[in-house]
Amino acid sequence: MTSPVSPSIDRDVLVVAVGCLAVLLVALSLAVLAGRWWLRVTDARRAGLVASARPWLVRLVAGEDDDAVSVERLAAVDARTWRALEPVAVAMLGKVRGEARTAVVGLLERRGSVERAMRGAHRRSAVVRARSAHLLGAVGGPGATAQLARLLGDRDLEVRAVAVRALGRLADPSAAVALVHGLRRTPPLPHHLVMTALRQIGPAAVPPLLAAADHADDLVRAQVAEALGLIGAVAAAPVLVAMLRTDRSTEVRLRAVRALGLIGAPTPVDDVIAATSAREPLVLRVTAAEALGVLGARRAVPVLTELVDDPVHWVAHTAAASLAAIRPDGVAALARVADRSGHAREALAAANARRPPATVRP
Amino acid sequence: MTTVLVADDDADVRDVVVFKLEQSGYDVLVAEDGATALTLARDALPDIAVLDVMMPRMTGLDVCRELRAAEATAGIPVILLTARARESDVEGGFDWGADDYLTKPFSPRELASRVRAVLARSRR
Amino acid sequence: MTALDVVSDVVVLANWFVLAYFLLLNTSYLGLILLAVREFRRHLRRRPYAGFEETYTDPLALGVSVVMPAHNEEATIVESVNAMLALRHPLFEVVVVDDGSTDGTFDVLRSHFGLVEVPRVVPEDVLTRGAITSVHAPPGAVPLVVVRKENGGKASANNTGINVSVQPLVCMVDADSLLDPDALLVVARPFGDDPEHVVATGGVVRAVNDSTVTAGRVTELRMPRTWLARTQVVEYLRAFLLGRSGWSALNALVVVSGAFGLFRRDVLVEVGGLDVDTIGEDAELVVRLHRWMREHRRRARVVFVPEPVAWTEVPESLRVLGRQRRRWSRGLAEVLWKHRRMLGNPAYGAVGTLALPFYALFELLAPVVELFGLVALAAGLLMGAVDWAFAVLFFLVAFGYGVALSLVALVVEEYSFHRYRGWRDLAVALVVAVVENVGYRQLTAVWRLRGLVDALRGGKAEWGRMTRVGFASAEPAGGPVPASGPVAHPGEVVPDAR
Repeated sequence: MTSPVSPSIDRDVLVVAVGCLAVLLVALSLAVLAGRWWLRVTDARRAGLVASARPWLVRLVAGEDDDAVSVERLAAVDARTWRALEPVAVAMLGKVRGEARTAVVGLLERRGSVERAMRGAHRRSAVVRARSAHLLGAVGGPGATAQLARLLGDRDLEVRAVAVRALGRLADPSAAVALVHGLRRTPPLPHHLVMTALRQIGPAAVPPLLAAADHADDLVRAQVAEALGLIGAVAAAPVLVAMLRTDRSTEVRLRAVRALGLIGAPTPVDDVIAATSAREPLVLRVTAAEALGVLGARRAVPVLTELVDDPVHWVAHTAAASLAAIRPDGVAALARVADRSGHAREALAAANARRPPATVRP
Repeated sequence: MTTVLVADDDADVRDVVVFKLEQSGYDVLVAEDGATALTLARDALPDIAVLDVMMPRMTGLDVCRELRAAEATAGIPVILLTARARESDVEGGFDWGADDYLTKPFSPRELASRVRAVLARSRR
Repeated sequence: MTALDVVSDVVVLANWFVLAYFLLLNTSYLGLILLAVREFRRHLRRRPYAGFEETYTDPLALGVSVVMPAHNEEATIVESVNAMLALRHPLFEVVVVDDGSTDGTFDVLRSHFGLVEVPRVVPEDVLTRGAITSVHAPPGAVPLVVVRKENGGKASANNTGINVSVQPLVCMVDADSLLDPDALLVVARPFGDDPEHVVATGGVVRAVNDSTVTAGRVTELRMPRTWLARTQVVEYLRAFLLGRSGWSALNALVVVSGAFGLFRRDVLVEVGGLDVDTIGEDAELVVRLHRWMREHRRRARVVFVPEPVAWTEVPESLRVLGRQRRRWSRGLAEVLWKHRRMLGNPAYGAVGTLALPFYALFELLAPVVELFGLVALAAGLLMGAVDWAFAVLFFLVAFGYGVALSLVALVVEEYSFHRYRGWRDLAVALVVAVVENVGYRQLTAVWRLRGLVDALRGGKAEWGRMTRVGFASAEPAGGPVPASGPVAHPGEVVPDAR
C-alpha cells in the first residue's frame, strides 16, 4: 500500500526531534528569563552606585569651597562605583568649562581613565578604541590630538567617526591638516562630521583647505567650499568666486555660492547675482537667491524683486524670503509687489510674525 | 529671599546650576521643559530666570518672548543658556528681550556671577 | 494503479510540498533574525559614543518637516501635535494636514494654538487629490503649519504635506503615533552619516495599548490587557523589529511604515510622492524608490533604525484587526503586481532577487499555503496516505519551529532593547510566543486570504487606474536645498547596475 512518495519516517528520529525541540524551547525560555533577571539586577546595582557618588560629582563641578573634599571622596570610591560613574563624569565634561572642567579632568587623570584611554586607542576591539577616542576628545591634553589623528585612519568606520567628532571638540589647530586630508581618503570620513570639526577648528583649517581646492574629485572640492564658508574665511573669497565661475560641477558651484553668502564679503555680490540667472541650473539659482538674503546685500534688491515673479516656485519663494531678510529696502520692495505676488505676501507675513513684540518692559 | 527659575532639559546641567545657585543663597525653582518653565514663571513670579535655549515643548527664546509679552512677567530678567554658538540665536535672544546669555559649555562660577550682576542691574 | 492511489500520491506530494515550504519560510526568518542581531549589536555598542547630544545642538543638522495627516481626530489631535512639537531636534517644523475633517479637528487646533490664516504659495511638487482651502500658523515662533484641504485620502494628505514642507527631510507619521523624544535625531542620523546614498529611513513601530502615556510620551510600558493586542506585541517584535532590521542589513528594506518614516524631500519630489490610488501606499513608495534609483543607475540606501520607537495603538477587536490585515494583504498584492517586473530581476539587486520574492512567496501566498496545508494534512490522515508520524513532523516544522522563532525574537529583545521590565509581562510574552503560532497565525491567514481575493477581484479597474500615476517627472527637482549633507542628486552612477 505504500506508494513511492509516501512518507516513511523513522519513529526514533522523530522522538529525538521532538525532544530536541522541547529542549530548545525550554532553553530559549530560560534564556529570556535569565536575561530579564540579569538586567534587573545590574540596572538596579548601577543606578545605586551612580546615585551614591553623583552628588559629589555635582558638588565638584559646581565648584564650591569644599572642592578638595569632593575630589577626595570621588578619588576614593571603589572600582565598581567608578566604572559606573566614569561615563557620567565624561558626559559632564562636555557641558562645563573653566575650573569646573579642570576639576573633572583632574579627577579622570587621578583615576587613571586618561591613561587607560591612551592605551585603549591601540586595542584590538573597535568598541574599546571608539570609547577611548570619545574620552580623549572630552579630556584633551598632551598627545590626545596625535592619537586621534592616527585613529582617523582606523579600519572601523565607527572609530573614525568618533575620532572626527573628538577632534572637533578639542578644536586643536594642529588637527586641521589631518582632517582635510581625511576628505580625500577612500572611503572618506563622514563628511558632515568633518565639516562640523573644521568649523570648530576655525581659521587654522583654511590653508590646508585651500591646498585641496583644486582636487580632482568633485565631492572633495564641494566639501572644501562648504568648509570655507562655515569657517567664514574672508580671505578665501577669491577662490570661491573662481569655483563659482568656472567649476564644471554644479555641486561645487552650489557650495561655493552658499559659502560666499556665509562669508558675507561685499565684493563677490555680482557673481552671486549672476548665479541666479535663468541660464543656470535650478538648484544653483535657488541657492544663490538664498545666499543673497544671507549676505543682506542691498545691491541685490532689484534682481531679487524680479526673481519674485520667476515661474519656478522655489526660485520665487527663495527670492521673496531673501528680500524679507534685507531690511528695510528688501521689505519695502516686497510691499510694492505684494498685490501681484503671492510669494511676496507670504514672505511679508512670515517676516511680520517673527518680528519681536513691542517691548512692554517697565 | 531671591527666587531663581532654572529651566534646562539636561539633568546634569540642571543639577549643577541648581546646586551652585542654592549654595549662593538663592531659592531655586526647577523646570525640565519650556512650557513648564513658563507656567512656573507666571505662577511664582521669580526674581530672575535662567533658561536653556534648546528645550522640548518650547524653546528658551519662546519662553522669554512670552514672558515679555505679559505685563506681570515682563520685568523678570532673563539669562539664556545657549549651546549653539550661532550668532543668530544670541541676536534673537536680545531681540526678544533677554538680559544676558551664556554659551554651553558653561562655567558654573561665571553663571553665578552673571545672575548676581543681572539681579543688581535690574534692581537699580 | 487505481485512481485512489493517484489521489493518495498527490496528497502525499502536497504534504511534502507544504512541509518544505514551512521549513524554508521559517529558515528565511531565522536568517533575517541573525542579520538583525548583527545590526543591533552595532547599534547598541555605538550608543554611548554616538554623539546624539552633539547632534541636538548641531547648527548643520538637516531640517525635518514632520507631516501629520489628520482626518477627524478632534479628541487627540492637540495632544499629538504638542507631543510632536516636544521632540528633540535642532531644526524642525510640524505640518498638520487636515484632510477634510467633518468634526472639530481644525477648531480645537485653532483655539489651542491661536492659529491665524497665512498667505502661502504651495508648490505642486507632487500630485495630490483635493485642493488646499487654507493654510494656518500660530503667531510667533512655534514651528507649526496647519493646512486644510478637501478630503482626498491619507496618501493625498501626505502628498499635500510634502508640498507644504520646507525642510530637506520629510518625516511622515500617523497622527495617532507617539514618538520617543529622540526619535527625529536618531532616525535622521543615517542621512548625515551617508549623505550621498541614504534616501529614506524607517523607524520601528511598537504596540502601546494599555501603557501609561503622559503628555504624548510613553512613561510606563506594560503588556496590553487583551490577548489579541498582546499577540500583536510579539508579532510586531518578530516581523517588524527583527524582520525589517534583517532586510535593512541586506539593503533590501521595502517597507517603511507609514506610521514613522523619514525621506529626502527632493527624492520624494523626483519619484512623485505617494501613489494616491494604492492601498499599501507606504510600501509602494519604498519599492518605487528602489526601482527609480536602480533604473537611473544611482546607488541608494533605505535604512531601518531599530531604536527609538514610534508607538501605536494596535486593534483590539477581531473586526478591526481583520479589516486591517485584509487591507495590508490587498495592498501587498497590488504593490507586487505593479512592480512585478522587479520580481526576481537581478537588475534590481537584493530588492529584486530577495525581498520581493520573499514577500510574494512567504507573505502574500503564506495564507494560501497555510490553509491548503491544513486541508491536505487532514485529507492525508483521513485517507491513510500519511501517518501520524508525518503529522508530528509537520507540526514540528510548521509550528514548533515557529514558536522557537518567536522565542528567539524575545531573547533578542531581552538582550538588546529590553523595553519591557516586569515579570508579568515576560510570562505573558512566553505564552504569546505559542499563541502567535498556533491560533493567531491561522486566524490572520483567513483575513489575508480575503485581502488577496479582494485584490484579484477588485483588481482590474484599480490596477488600470494605478498605472496612470507612475513616475511624475524626470525634471530635476527644485525645492529647499539642504544646508549641508546631501548633494543635489543622490547616488552616483553604479557601473554594475545593468
